[in-house]
Parts: sequence; structure tokens; C-alpha cells
Amino acid sequence: NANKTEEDDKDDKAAQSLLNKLIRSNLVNTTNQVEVLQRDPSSPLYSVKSFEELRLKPQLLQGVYAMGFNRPSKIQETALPMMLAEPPQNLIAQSQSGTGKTAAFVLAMLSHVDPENKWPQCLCVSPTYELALQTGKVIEQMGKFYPEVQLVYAIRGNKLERGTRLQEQIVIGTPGTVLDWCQKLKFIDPKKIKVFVLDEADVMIATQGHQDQSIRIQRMLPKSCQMLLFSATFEETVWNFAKRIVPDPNIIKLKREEETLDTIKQYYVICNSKEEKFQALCNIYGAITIAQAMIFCHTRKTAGWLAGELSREGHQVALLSGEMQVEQRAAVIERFRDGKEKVLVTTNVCARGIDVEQVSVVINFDLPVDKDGNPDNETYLHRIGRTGRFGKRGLAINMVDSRFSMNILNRIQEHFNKKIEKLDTDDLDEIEKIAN
Amino acid sequence: KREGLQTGADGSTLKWYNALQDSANQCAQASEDLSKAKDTQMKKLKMELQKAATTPVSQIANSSGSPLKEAFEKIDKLLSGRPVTSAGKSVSTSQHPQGLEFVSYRLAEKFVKQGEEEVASNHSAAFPIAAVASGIMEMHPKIGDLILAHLHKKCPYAVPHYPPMERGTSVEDYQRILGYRVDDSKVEGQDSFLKRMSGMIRLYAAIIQMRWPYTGKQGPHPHGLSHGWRWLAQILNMEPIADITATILFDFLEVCGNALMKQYRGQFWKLILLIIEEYFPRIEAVTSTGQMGSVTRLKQFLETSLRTKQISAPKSELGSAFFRS
Amino acid sequence: GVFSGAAEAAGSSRDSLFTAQSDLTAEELKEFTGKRFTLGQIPLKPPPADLLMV
Ligand SMILES: Nc1ncnc2c1ncn2[C@@H]1O[C@H](COP(=O)(O)OP(=O)(O)O)[C@@H](O)[C@H]1O
Repeated sequence: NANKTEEDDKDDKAAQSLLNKLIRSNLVNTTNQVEVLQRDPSSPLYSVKSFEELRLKPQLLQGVYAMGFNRPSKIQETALPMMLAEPPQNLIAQSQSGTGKTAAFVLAMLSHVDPENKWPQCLCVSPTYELALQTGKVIEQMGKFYPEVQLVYAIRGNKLERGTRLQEQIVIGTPGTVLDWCQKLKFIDPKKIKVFVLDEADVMIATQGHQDQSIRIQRMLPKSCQMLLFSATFEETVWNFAKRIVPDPNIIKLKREEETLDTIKQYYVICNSKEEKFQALCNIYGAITIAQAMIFCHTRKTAGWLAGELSREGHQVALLSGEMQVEQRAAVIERFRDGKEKVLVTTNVCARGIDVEQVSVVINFDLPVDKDGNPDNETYLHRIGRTGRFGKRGLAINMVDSRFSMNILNRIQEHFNKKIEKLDTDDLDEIEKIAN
Repeated sequence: KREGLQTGADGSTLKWYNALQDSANQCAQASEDLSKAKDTQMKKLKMELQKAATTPVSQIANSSGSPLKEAFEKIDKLLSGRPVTSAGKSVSTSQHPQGLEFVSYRLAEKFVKQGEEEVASNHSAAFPIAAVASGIMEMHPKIGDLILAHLHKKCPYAVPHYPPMERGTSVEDYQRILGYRVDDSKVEGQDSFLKRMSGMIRLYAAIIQMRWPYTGKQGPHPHGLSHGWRWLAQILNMEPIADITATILFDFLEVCGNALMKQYRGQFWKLILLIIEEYFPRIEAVTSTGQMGSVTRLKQFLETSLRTKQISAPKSELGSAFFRS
Repeated sequence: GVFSGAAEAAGSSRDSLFTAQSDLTAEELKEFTGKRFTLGQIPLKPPPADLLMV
């Protein structure tokens, strides 16, 4: 599908990854089992069910709990003991975003730092400035009770005087700047690095030059340095890159949880015009409790119109539209996640890749169709599907306004072999039933 | 005379709790003609009334003061019997003899649901919802009782009350009474349950300390900090329950500890001291490994408070600048 | 009416932030005047306004 690749290019991976980080406030549910490939299969395999078992420094255990965590996530159960082992072990870990990788390697970095030593000991490279910043925030939160440990960003724009010798124990940045700081500017002595983390490897290699720079950084590090690499996906190219960065690795994989419609209640509403759709929407709002909703429209024009109508009714509405820059989109998403706006109206193009699992109600104001006018099943699944069979339940409501869209709906229903129930939005009792 | 910790809430607490439930049930019964309407015309009216009552609650957001004011005014107008317009249609409670009862019941229920759904995943949402709720409670005290009744039904820990298992109750029903969601005989996970309960406790803690700044009334809070005292005293008089007590105590103190400290000063610090010296060890004693998260958060909070002789104001509390915006 | 003022009916003082000393039992007063509360005996009524410093 040529159309799709074009869109994918426009919406580059780093932006998607950032927006997903911003909208996420929860761990993603996983029911799959972790697969482990040990470098030394004869050594016993540890996995932990509680953070206590890891014998963390008390300041770090406090930091972990203060973040609201209760127990390790699936991937953390296995990854953390390996990362914290003595002697340190190298690790390649793959699991979808939202499963707790960042929290895991941040904990590993903080654990290995010697706060008495005032020089960089941990190096973490991220694909973009914004992603580095997100990781930095996690370091700050988790290290809240460990103020002796300091952090510095190696990013373009952070200009230090020549001859500077960094005192901070953790450096986080983008590959180009980190390389410069190690090689040309010598702010960092790479021989003193104990932990090297390469985050979002799949996003990294999508950017020209990053792969090369990362490998050049890695070559400067001592043999004893612990190498850790994380990726959400694992194609052949990522794998080849990973093996060049991480010698003798342990490998952990957590299969991506399939999105399913099993935990979703799907409905459709018959309307004759966009005004009627709007009325139906108002009725739904009056009948059930919607913490936050995401509404998809086919065109920018409809999205703009709908956002205007909803605002006029007093709703706090955010509009995410195609012409926005990544930073603007990020700002919209952050406000939405913080509850400053409760309804997010968007077109599909710009919401592609956004993880809607955080949102309890998804409304297809227009059904997703591809450019030939056929149902876009993949997009439908992505918009409303949920991962994890015992995860949060969700609600999806489709607006049907013509024979054409009814036909699309029927074909979507056939494709997934899951019934989409009819809903009469003029009947309060009926709408209330769907929320139970 | 009773000695030591009790296993259940005090008689006066339970009496109050039951009275609130009774009055909510009466209100539900007194609006049955409307809520159980079969006639098309009547159903239409019911829909419009419900929309008028609940839509403004779903519009409460964190952005600024003026939309909150709008939401409040719409609700206030409706409860005062004046016509309001929702999605282009005008409606008023005077169109049906049971209009006011119906609207009151649904509105109160809605406040609690909004807290349950929203505050659970976004703690800062407690404040704007509580601001509007406390304003409504002040202008319309009966709604206040209904909000409490609904809150107690969904979250008995807000009373606080640890319902005992009664003979003849099925396990499923008992789980529901405890606040768990049970469907198709599957009970929700502990993390999700605790998250929802936290949301509702935080909403309650925000309500008892918030004042709606626009009414201009100077009277006492309709359900104010004295209930914060009552809640805390009642919790601490009862044997702690694993996972739950540590969780809700922390939520409660984080949201309204600062306000209680300012109000009750030395007596409040006596409570904190009691928690640290005698109550916390009891909590630890009922906690198993794997439940240390909530206990550690509580401990951290208590230690910081004692060390700094301060309880910090809650994050994302709405200041006066917010209400001017 | 429908709402009988449940809170008042059950005798909880609805709005006063403090309790008058005269409204406390001897035991309750002892709890408020002492340096420490006794476990399980904390009065549910809020403290008297003139006993905030201990
Ligand atoms: N053990 C845990 N318990 C609860 N929440 C967690 C845990 N680990 C991570 N999280 C939270 O889950 C979300 C996703 O975690 P993150 O580490 O960013 O995942 P990833 O790096 O795989 O995308 C974050 O909001 C994070 O705070």
C-alpha cells in the first residue's frame, strides 16, 4: 500500500515514539511470556517478583516506590537481575513501548554509579533531543532520593566551554553530540564509562548517521563496560546493529501483545448528517461517564467543525491536525494527558501511531477508509484495539451516515468476525447499558 | 469501655453512613416514575434532564477557572429550577414533578463516577471536580448528602468503613460490596482496584478542603475539614487492612494533610505521631512482600513530615490565579 | 421531604470546625488534653479550638 509508506515517512518514527511516551501514564498490559537467551546457559536464571529482592540501595528503592510502582513489570522481572548482576552482564532487550524498559535501564544506571566519583560513569544515547529529555526526567524522578548523583544532557545547543571536564556521573544525549564530547572535545573520558545504554535502537537506525556514530562511541569504551541495548521492534537490520553494539549479549524478548477487539464493546449509530452525528455524540456524553475520549474524523475540515461545535457546548476540546509540527502535537498531547482538555478530535493521518490505550472511549465520527474507498481494517484495529486480555475494557462507537458507510461497517465486522451492535442514541436506557 | 483497635467503624459512623444510604434510596424511589419511564415523551424528557445535569460535570477540566464557572452555573441553574439549554434544547426540572429528585440523584452519581474514572489515572483532576462539587454542596446541601452516599457505595473506605462479610453473602457480592468490579464472575485485579479507590479517596479529600471561590458566601463549609478529622480518627481507630489502609491513608494525607495541619495544629501532629509510633508498625505487620509499595510511600511521607515539621500542600492544588483565569 | 438531612439526623455536627469542650465526654477531653492519643481511642469529634497547642 503505497499511500501508507508515504504517510509513515512523514510521520517519522522518533515523533511517534515521543508522542506515545507523552500520552502514556501506565504500563502496557502483557500476557505473553518473556523469552530468554542466556550467554551462559549454565548459570542460573533469576527473575524477581518484587523490588525488595533486588537489594537496591535504599534511596533507589524509595525512588522506585515514590513513582507509584508496586512491583516489577514483566520485562523488568528478568531484565533487572541480569543488569544488576555482578559482574555486570550485557543485554539486548526487545519489547513494545510502554512495558517498562526505560525504567529498567535507568534503575541499572543509578545502581552502578559511584556517587563519590565526580566523573561520567554512565552513558545513554537516544535518537532525539526530546526522547533524551524524557529519559532524563525518569532519571530525575527515580533518583529523587539520591541527590549526589547528577545528570547532564549531551545535546546540540548545550554548549560547554573548551577544556571542561564533566563532573556529572550520568550523561544522556544524542549520538552526534555524545561522540563529539568523547572524541573531539574530550569532556568525557570514555575509558571511565561503566554502563553504556543505547535506547530505541529501531528508531536510532532509521536516522542517517546515528548507527555509525553509535558504533564509534562504543569502540571507545573499555571492554569491561556493561553494554545495554533496547528496542521496541526487532527486524533483521536492528538485530545486526545490536550485535555490533553489544558483545556476548544475554537476549530478552517479549512478544508484542496483539491488539484485539475482545475486550472492546463496539457499537454503531445511524445518523443522517454530521449535525445528527453531533447530536448523537451529545447524547452519549450525557448518558455515560467519559473520562477522556478520542474522536476520529476523515478530514481536517470535519475535525475543525466538530471541535468548534463541541467547544460551543462547553467541552474542553483539543484538536490535533495534520499541519502541526511535532512540538505542537506534543504540546497538544501533553495537555490532553494532563486533563486540561478532555476530548481530542483528530484526523487519522496525524494520530497514526498514537497509542490510544489510555483513552476509554474511541469514537469514529467517520469510519476509516483507504484512498480507494475500501475499509481500512488495520487502522480500525489500531484505533480501537486493546492489548492484554485482562486489561482495561474499552468502548468504541462508530457513526454511520450513509449506505456507503454502512457497507464499510459491515465489511469491517466481517473482517474481524466480531459483532458491532446497533445503538439507539435517542434512548437513554440503551446508552447507559453499554457502560456497565 | 473498648480497648485497643476496633475491627469496624464506630456506631455513630455507621449510623451516619446508613442514614445517607437511606436518603439516597428514598430519592431514587421518589423519582422512579421518571427514571423508569416507558412512555416515549417521558423518556425524551428524562434524557434531556440527565444531559443537562451530567454533561457539565464531564466538562470540568484543569485548564482554567472560567470553564469551571460555566459548568457550575449550568448545574446551579438547573437545580434552581430555571431552564437550561443543552445541545440546542431547553429543559427545566419544573417540567416534571419528580424532575428535581431525578436530576439530583443523577448529578450526585455523576460527580462520583467522574472521580472514579478520571482521578484514578490523573490525580490532579481531583481538584477541579472537588471545587465544583463543593460549590454545589454549599448552594444545594441535599446534593451533598447524595454525593456522599454514592461515594460510600462505590468506595466504603471513604466513610471509612470496612464492610464485614455477612452470612449468606456470596463471595462475588461481597467483592462488590468491598468496591471491586466483578463481571462475568471475574474480579478486577488488585492494582486496578486500588487505583480506583485512590481516585475516590483523593476526590473526597479534595472536597473537604476546597471552597468554591465564586459564591461569595462566608458560611462554614458544607462538608469541611471537621470531616477530615473524623475520617482520619476513624481510620486510625480500626485495625489496618493489608494494601488498602496504607494506600488510602497516603492518598488522603497527601491531598488534605496540609489543610488539616493548618487547622488542627498540635492535635493533628498528635495524630501523625500516633501513626508513626504505633499505627504504622501495625500496618507493616499485615503487609506481605510484594505489597511494600504503598507502605513505603506512606512511610516516606510520614518521615518527611516529621523531619520538616511540615506537610506540603498538594501538587496541582488550584490557586487563586487559576480561578481568576 | 425526600432529604431528611441525613448528616444531622445521625448527629454529626455538620459544619463546625471545632468542638466545644462542653460537648466532649470526659474520656474525649482527656484524649485532647493529653500529650498523646491512646491507640483506638481517638475522638471522632474535632478538637476544641482552645486545645490546639499541646
Ligand atoms: N514496575 C512498574 N510498575 C508500574 N508502572 C511502571 C513500572 N515500570 C514502568 N512503569 C510506567 O509505565 C510506563 C511505561 O514505562 P517505560 O519504562 O517508559 O516503558 P518503555 O521504555 O518500554 O516504553 C511509564 O509511565 C512508567 O512510569
